[in-house]
Amino acid sequence: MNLETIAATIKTYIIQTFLYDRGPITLTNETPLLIGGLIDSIRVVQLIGFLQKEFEIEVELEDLTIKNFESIQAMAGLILRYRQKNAE
Amino acid sequence: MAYLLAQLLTQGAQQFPDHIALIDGAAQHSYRALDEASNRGAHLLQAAGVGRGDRVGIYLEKSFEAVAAIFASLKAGAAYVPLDPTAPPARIAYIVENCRVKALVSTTTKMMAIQDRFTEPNHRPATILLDDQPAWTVGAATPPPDPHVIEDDLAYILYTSGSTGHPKGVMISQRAALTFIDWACDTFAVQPTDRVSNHAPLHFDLSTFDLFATIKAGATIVLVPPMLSVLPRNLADFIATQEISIWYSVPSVLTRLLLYGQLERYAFPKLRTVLFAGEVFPVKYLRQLMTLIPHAAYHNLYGPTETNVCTWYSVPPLALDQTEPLPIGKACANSEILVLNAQDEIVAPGEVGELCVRGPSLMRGYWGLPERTAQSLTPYVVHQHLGPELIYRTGDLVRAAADGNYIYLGRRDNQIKSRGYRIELGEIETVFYSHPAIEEVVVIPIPDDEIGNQIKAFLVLRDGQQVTHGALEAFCAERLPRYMFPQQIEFRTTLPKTSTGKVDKAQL
Repeated sequence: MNLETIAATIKTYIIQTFLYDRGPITLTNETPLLIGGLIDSIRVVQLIGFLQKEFEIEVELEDLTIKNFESIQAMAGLILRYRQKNAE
Repeated sequence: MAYLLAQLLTQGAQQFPDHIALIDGAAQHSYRALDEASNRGAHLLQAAGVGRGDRVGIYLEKSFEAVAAIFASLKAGAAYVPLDPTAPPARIAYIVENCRVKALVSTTTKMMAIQDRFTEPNHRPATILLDDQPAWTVGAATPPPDPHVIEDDLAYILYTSGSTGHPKGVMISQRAALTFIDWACDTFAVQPTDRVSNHAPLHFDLSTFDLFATIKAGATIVLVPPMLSVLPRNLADFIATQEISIWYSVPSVLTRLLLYGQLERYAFPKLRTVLFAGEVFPVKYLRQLMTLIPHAAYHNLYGPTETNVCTWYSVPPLALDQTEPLPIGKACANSEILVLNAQDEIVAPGEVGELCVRGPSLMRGYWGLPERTAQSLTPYVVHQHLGPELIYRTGDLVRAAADGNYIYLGRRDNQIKSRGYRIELGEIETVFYSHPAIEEVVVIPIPDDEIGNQIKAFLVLRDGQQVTHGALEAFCAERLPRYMFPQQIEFRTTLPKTSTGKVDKAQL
């Protein structure tokens, strides 16, 4: 699983789960998700739950930061790091 | 002497013109800057026809501009109506039309979202768009003409969940607001050196402490960017680096900070007072928090929006084996608490009854709902020589412990708290009932350690109808703020009934 496929999976999830109440919006891997309130404190819990299950990882507390969740790109990078670490 | 909220800022600006009144991200704004910005805003509002007794809607993200707009409304003689920037547009439009907002301070993008949601073309409010004109930086900064407000006039209207399917506006007078602000400022000895967090959204009554008690004291408001609340670790960083000295939020935010914020990374030497209100704080989490940050004082504040804070409890060191819930404490200064039984008699100490409040902190009523108001604000003879006076019936069941502290036991009705938000389950049920595919619905709370309650809906669909979870969420998103969405939805073919035909929640 590479960065692109991870990002695509996250993107599909976000579109299906969170974007129904928004008008037309272009979501790219770089779209800021936290600034506009697209992902709030209620949804981030849901999202982290999905990521852990889908990618079979356990996100550690110290990685629960804005830097790692600000965009799809950032999340995909985080997940890739975990998967590589787990594979070692 | 200040008998109006606007005077707190005017006086603060005279006394501490160069002191920092508000921190919004990287920007620091002095008392003079906030005072002048709100003067300019008040001139604009008065030019738009706003005067004493009007309402001004504030439809902005939390910011210096939003706070200046609040003071501008007050200086123009109006009550401010803070609108949740994340709420569905239809709900915002309902509130604006419901209380006949005269002017709306907002931005072009935000206004575009609600534009086509208005249903009464004859009652469009004037709009002041902050992106179009540098509204708060140019023009005369002199105080606006005095609108001659008295303390019985309204200061703000806060909309809370209503069981009939629409939010209801709680009208708070200047005097009621200041009764709480004066008490809080005094009790927690807010000092000019304090840096007070503003975590709660502006439409949530906790924010009135952050704004007005801080300004009264000549202290500094530090706006917490909403993005930071998403990830507790960053919120912990913020509290430490911003050297917050007084923190006020709902307990579930503190629980998240404790569980996921890695608080042990910091000593928080400046944090001296932690205030929380809005829901029950589980003792096990509060105890851990107090162990991690032992030098801070912890206070549990209680009171529905309709009464402001009316009781409080200073938390003593908690014993390891204490499992009883935290008391809500005793009456605040200038508030009187009565506990009434079903016969409307004052109960004997230790007996269970409904907590009722007498005093100047009570609301004036619900906007445009005289009958609903009369159910909550009822005449009662507390003192024979004074005759009947209005008391507020909270609907909260309590009993007094042996030491006189009140213990909260539950609700008389269908209202719950989730993440500190007050939710009428009936409002959620009414929304589901308006869905064409739904035959029957009941919504119940599922107790949850971290957020107080989760919300669960049981739905029975009409014959032959099908609807997905996603479609239901989208349906809710049009009608309810997100904190009111059920986390769990379960489809049933029938709902269990009691002998009187009501849904039997115990059998679910």
